[in-house]
Amino acid sequence: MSDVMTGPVISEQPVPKAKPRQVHELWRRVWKERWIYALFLPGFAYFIIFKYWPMWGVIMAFENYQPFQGVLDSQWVGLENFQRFFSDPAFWQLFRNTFILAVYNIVFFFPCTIIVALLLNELRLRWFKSAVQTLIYIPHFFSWTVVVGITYMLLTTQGGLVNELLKMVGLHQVNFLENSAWFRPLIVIQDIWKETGWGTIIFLAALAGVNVELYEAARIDGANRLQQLWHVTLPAIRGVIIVMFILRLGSFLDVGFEQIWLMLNAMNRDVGEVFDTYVYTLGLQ
Amino acid sequence: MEAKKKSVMTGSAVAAGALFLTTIVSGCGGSSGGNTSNSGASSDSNSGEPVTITMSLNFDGKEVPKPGNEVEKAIEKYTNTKLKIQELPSTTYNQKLPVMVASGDLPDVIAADPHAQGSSWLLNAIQQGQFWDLTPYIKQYPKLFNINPIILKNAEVNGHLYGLPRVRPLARNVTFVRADWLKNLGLQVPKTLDQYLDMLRKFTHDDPGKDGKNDTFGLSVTTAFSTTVDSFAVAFGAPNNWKVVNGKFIKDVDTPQYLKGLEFEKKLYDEHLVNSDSAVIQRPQWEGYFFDGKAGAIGNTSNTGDAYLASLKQNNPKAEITAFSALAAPDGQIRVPAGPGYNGELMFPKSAVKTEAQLKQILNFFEKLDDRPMANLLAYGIKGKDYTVKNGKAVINPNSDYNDTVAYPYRFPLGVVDPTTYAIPAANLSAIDQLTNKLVEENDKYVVTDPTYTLTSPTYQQRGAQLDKILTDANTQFLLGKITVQQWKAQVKKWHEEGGDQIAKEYAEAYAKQQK
Repeated sequence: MSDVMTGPVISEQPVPKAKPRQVHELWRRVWKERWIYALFLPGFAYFIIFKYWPMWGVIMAFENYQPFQGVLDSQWVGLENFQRFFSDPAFWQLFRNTFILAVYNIVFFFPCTIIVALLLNELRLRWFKSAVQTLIYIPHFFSWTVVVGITYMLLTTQGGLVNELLKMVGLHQVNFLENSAWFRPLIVIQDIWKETGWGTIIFLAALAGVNVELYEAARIDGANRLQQLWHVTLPAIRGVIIVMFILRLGSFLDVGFEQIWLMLNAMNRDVGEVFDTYVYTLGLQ
Repeated sequence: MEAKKKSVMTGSAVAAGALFLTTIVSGCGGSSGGNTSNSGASSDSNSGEPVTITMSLNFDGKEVPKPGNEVEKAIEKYTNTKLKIQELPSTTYNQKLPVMVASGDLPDVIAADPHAQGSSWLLNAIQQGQFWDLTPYIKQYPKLFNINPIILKNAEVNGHLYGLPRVRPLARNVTFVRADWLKNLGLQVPKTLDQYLDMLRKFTHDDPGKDGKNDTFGLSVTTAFSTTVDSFAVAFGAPNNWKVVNGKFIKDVDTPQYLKGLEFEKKLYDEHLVNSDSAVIQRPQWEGYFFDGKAGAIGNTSNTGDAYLASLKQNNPKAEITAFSALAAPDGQIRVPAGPGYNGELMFPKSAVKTEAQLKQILNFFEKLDDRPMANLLAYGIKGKDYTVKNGKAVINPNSDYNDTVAYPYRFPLGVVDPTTYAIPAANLSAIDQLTNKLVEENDKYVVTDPTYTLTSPTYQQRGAQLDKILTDANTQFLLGKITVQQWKAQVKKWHEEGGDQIAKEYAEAYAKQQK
């Protein structure tokens, strides 16, 4: 309290003096480290140009946007678009379809990557391991168009491989592609076939980092392979699994437009239409 | 593999070319304005400096020809113009067009359809006066506007013509059938729906290919273009999309005749006379069934006959095709649905075509394309190379690459009136082309028109795609046995509630205004 009286007189002097000096100091340091800062510039520019600048386009969501009039001149409608979206008769169906596919993806696809990584980790034949790894990475590089094309060729009722086999053993043909009940399983199976191999990479890296001495110690204590897996391997990569799981949740509702769009038809739209495909039909088609 | 690689390379070459052209077009936008206004006075004569015309058009062929090719030079020389044409594949073009119009950075000529679903942006631009109204010029260019009045009316927006409709036949859907199969089975080309059903049954069960295998079916169908249901419905007497009764608009699905057409088609599905995967397949598989000799019939537009026969012959040199279009319903009547009669309109933005003199120069160019030398060029190609003249008739060279060099790059995007109207007659038109031309001509007697071609409904413009899908999905689900008639009717009711009723009301209002 007593500083109130004396404070200004004493403190005012150093402050104006210190300020230019501090600024000067800062610039001197920046100049000294200029090459480090130069390295930082491209990244900075990337975020400004590609992440921050386009954000103003979000304004479109609050407008009755007309491409002819542009963002600035289109009529401002506030929350009307959101109101329309949430009260759309199709909203809950879309929500359910998107949500269920996302949950299926987490429940069935995510564990697959861990299991396959563990299986690969147990392989002792080096060449066999690399060969399998290479093979299961390949589908990741296929486009969805190709994957859906292969699915069609295998499953069509018009001479598809699976249905021909069913016919040969005397069973009824199954119309996999035009059937609501088969839509979600097919999507998940395609996901697993295409992306599992690629998804193992990070887990394999984590598994390679597990301390070998731990296994030795476990073996001396009489642990068999399964017990080693349960008590050593899994706890060791638990952190990575959790991080991967959280990252996965980050893109929870992003169920993949291209794949679903290509698999969608009049017969499975009731379970297959998701937000992405609906918006595409409504807005762009 | 090699073919694929090549097509990828051409693809990127086309893309690069398109980019390059965009710069040219935008770069020349200003200079063309200056250039044309200079020579504006001498617009009707061939003398003087050539007029520069920039265009951006859609393209449906294989490869866009290089600028300055033989055909383009011939057109430029005859019309005394300098053409800068940018052609893009139709899908790309239709995506780019709204952006081009929005930016105002447009060439002198674009191709667009203000009546197409989802083109409210274009109607907005028209209403704001962005495009030239051609109504006052119709009388001045008699050859150019020598167009069926129905088609001309279909192309109008609120009673004004804002573009040159690229004229096509009104009812141009035909069904191609294997003539050799008909012969093997001792059948005639069907004339009624009953005969048609009988033919499809025999194609499926009676081994039409005479190879001892039971591997054929009647008709190849895909719901990717759901034209079959609608044409069966019209054949049974349903309206073409909508009909007007006492000023009220009634949708086809609300008539009992529509259900008759739908049930007729369901019979084809139930008896396995069509492929079972129609909801899944796209164009290549759909056409593949016909080309591979699995399906005996396929429906498409009349101008595909030659190409279909060629593809069929590649797999089976003995294959022959014939065609039919209109079929009589059980009540003895013949009805076919009519399309709008044009494929997009050539429109002239005021931002590029600044003065009336410039507009007249451009219209003059299109009028000149209807002169006999130009009509011959567009109809048959380069004289001496693609065709020769004998006794005043064009003898077409069967080995010419006319389709790639003339038809797709120039005749279809630039032609307003069909060039054969003004060209010399052809001496050796293929049998299938002669037949389909005749069928399409006959169809004019039986056409049922869609009254909404000349009307606009804001709700349909905005939500049409979604609403149409309710109905087309319900049709497919009914045909494949997933839903019953009752459930189908429930979907129709849903369509009414979610916007169908609103559309009917808007059409009725627009119609009342038009009648005044």
